[in-house]
Amino acid sequence: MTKRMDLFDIVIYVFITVLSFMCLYPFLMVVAGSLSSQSSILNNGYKLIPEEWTLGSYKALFISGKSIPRAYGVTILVTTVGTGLSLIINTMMGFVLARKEVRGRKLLNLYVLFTMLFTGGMVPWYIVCVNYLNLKNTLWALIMPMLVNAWYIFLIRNFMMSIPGEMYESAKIDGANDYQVFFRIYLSLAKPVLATVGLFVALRYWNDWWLGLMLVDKPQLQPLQLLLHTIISNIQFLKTMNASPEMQRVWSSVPTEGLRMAMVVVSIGPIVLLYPFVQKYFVKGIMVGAVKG
Amino acid sequence: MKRKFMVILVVLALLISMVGCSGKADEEKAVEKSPESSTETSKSNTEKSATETSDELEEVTLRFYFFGDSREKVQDVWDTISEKYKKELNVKFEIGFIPGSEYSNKLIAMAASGDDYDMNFDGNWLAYSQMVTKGAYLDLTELLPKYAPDLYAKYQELGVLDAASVDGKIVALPWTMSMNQRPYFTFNTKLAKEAGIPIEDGSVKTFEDVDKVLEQFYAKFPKIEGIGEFKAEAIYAKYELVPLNYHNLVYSLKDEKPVVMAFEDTEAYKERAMWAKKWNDAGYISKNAVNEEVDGNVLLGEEMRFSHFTWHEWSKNLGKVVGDNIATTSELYPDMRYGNRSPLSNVVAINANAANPERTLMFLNLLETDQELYDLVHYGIEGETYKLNGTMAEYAVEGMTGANSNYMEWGGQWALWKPQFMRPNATYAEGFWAKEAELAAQEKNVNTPLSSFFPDSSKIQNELAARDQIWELDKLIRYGAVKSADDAVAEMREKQQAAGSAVIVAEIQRQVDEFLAGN
Amino acid sequence: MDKIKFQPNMRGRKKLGALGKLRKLNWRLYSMALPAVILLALFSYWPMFGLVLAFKDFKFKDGIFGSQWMDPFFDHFELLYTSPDAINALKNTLTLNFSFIIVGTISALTLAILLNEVKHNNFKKFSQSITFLPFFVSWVVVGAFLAEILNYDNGIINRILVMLNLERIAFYMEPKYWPTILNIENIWKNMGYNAVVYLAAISGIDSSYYEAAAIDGASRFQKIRYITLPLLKSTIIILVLLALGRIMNADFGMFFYSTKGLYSLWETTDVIDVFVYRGLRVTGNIGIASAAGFLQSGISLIVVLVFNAIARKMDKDSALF
Repeated sequence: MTKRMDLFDIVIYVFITVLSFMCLYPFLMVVAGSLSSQSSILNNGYKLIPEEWTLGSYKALFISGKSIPRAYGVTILVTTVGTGLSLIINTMMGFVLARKEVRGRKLLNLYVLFTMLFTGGMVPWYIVCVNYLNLKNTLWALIMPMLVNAWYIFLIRNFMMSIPGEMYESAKIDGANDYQVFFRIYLSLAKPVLATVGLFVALRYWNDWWLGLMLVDKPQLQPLQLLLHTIISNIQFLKTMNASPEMQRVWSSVPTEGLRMAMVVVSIGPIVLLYPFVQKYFVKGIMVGAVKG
Repeated sequence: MKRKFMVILVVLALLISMVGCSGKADEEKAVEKSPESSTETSKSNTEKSATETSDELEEVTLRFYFFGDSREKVQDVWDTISEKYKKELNVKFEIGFIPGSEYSNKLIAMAASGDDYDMNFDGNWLAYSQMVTKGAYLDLTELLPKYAPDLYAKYQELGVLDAASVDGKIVALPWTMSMNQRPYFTFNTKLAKEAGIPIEDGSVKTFEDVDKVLEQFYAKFPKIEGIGEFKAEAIYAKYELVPLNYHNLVYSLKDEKPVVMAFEDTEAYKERAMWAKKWNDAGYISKNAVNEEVDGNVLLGEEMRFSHFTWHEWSKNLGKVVGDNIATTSELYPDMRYGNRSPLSNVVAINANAANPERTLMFLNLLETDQELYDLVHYGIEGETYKLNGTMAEYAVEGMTGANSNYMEWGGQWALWKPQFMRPNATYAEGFWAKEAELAAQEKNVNTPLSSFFPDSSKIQNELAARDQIWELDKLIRYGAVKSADDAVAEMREKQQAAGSAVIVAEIQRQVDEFLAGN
Repeated sequence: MDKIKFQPNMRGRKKLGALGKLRKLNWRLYSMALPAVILLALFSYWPMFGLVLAFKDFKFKDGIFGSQWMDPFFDHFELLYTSPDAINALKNTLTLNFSFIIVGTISALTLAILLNEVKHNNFKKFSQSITFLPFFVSWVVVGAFLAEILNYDNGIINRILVMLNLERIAFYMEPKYWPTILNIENIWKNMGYNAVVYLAAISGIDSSYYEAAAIDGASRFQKIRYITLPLLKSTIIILVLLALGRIMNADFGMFFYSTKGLYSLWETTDVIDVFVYRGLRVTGNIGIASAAGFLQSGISLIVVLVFNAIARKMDKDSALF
């Protein structure tokens, strides 16, 4: 590939630079906001460089004195196990749905799709999880309910369908069974989509606090985002309930603006860790070797 | 073949739905069963406590849920309580906290699933109305006098149990604080001095006075926000209106017998809209105020806002929030009568499926009489989670961090406040609550005829939802962010009428009449 | 692309025994689908018994099935079909989500294709990471920034207007600007995230196509037009169809924190999720909430069925079913 730039390139580079700037600038404002004092935000608005530096917001996030390392541990465990399992399960399903010779494929498609459209609601879901599946106060409660997702299945299915059918058939003729075909050939061919879905799944697990909130009471099992969310949620709630003096008492003493910003910064973790790793799968033409070799 | 597969799928689907159905059956059983079983256990426990001495109480675990955020020390403190009161109670505690925005959601899900937790905090600003309507709280009519006689006696003396009763059954335990939230006009002292506004106690009594002060202020500081939103409480005082604390319904103390009105239908509402509009046009109310979210006291402290309406507890207390001597307060319409605060502001309630309601009540009874227990529950372990300085409970002492200080947080404390035991702290000075109670006992501060009335919403659910929905317009009105005050009020009235406000008013009036006849 | 169908079991069809039939059914493939099928049954289908709540007067002690049916049966739906505001919210939900899907798809696709054209790998990786960042900024924070940009007294836009001798705009009082504002917000926040899917799809394209095109002397623009875009068609269709499945579900955070739910903006910004939230904040009526959910799902189902049929006409393989 040559690196000679033509006009088209220049247009692209300028466009992407401008776009990146538009995405980066507000984000830097978030970082700066998380490091600014409440009064400097109120008086001067959000600035790129804090007028008054403080770590107050981060302190407030972690002031509740809960065990942050433990919460990190829970989150990391849940994210790794959840992402791994979720990838395998969703990918297998996507693989099956992509096989045209599967009878009842249409029904199976509908079966998956329907879960995207209809949900039973929060209360019945809670009853199922707690009363029948006994998930309350277990680690599985943070993993199981999010394992399968119709959206990911269809993404994977779609990608698998773009893989030439010869791959499957020639492997079968060579005597491989479906599992072997799946694990030996398709998984490596589907790397770009696996990287994508893996990233999305990991983000979901990493950022989730809802499962923890509903299904876990034990502090030892609470994920990081739940701890953070609790703090923010309390403040946010106090704002909408301004009629209650109890509420006002609490929220007027907290640096709300900076706190929200700090939360954004903290939640960025997985992208910083995962994304560079994921990106290497987005190289054009990854398939070539596989098809020809 | 295709058909065969269909058959298999149908069978699968049937199987799944059967699992579902059997699940349903189980669930119904579980839900039907649990109240019985809990009464059974309660019976057996009753017998026990009647026949055996208390130190032979069987050990049980009580599960409580409070509002807010759990601190690291919570379990330690409650373990200590459990140790110390082994003889009297013999209980272990499991303490859960639920954050604000999800409080109602989680409570409702737990109650619906038949969870057997014992007690939770609630209030008329939280999930109380929903929980009561759905029958989630245990009927305490018989259990309360039996297991918590001291607490019961206190309630009798205060006469607040009616408020926590539905169909004559006691369903919750309201707090025993008495206080009054009269509206005050609060302004930044320093800015007032600079603008040449006299700072005397009681110099601002009426909205005309407020208007004058704002005009004077604006002449000097046109760039600083003059006043915040026009809170409803402020206009209530002028017209002697009492809020039902129920979907913006009010009644007037001037009427012989309470006549329920929709707030927007009153003269008061019109006047409020008029002032807000005037102040918005004049630039006293910021054009941005309607979409701002910053707390008024913070703005006041930062000299970004000159004044706003607050209430009594805050007015006397304000120095603690925005820094000493920053704000001056003035009582609005001091000669008018104003209703005392509803006892339902903060309650604890026992779950209908609670595993151990008796023991929970015994705990609550002990809390009513035992200062030591109260200190433990509210402030934690002396020297570890707070320091006693004379009678004062101090949280921010050297060597204490957020991790161990103020271990229950405010949200955890409201549930069980007892005026007789409350220690002064950084927010509430010595004698604050006694003064608050004195104030509530003044002649102009009245216990309203309907303070212990709790409306039943079951027949007007749709109308209420529609009403709350349209009420959003009020936000524009109270900031004066409307083209014309009269038109906006007319729009509110029309829309509310179309949404069935008359039905709501009629239904609540009927309930009020019944309630008054019953007393 | 591949037209050859390989069907190894065509012959000897009638002679299969029970075991053979099972083998014919390809149990290995079905067993691979099993975990997902079971998990969906447990966490999605089982709780669906709760849909009856839309028609029940739910009391905890009676349980979901023991509770009385509503009388009239559709009582929980009343708020949704009698209130003119509800109809407005339904309309806004549909139109705004449609515009989000169209504008969002185009912007994400453009970004992915342009990123793919970048020759310097470091620049590509760096800008790709950066465009992903807004995804992490919560809507509350976006709302706060937005309020500052649109501030009446010293927001950047109003300052520019004053500089140009134009009148200030009270944005939170003027509904007409909001569909545009919301669309821009949506692009900004989700473009990087959605582009990742397209990037993955592009990297799945066999590079021999491009090589062949290069030999034929195709320009880069032609390669995009005649190779990349057509091969992305099925991905685009599937993503759009999936998005249509959520057409009735507005992003609550976006609407609530951007517009603050202000009455003055309802005309163009009120969506069904915010509408329901507002009505039920105090009463918390599970029945009405379920009814709203039911209605949303129903409409989405119809929309998906219609568009799936259209998609099937366009490209049989990329339809959802």
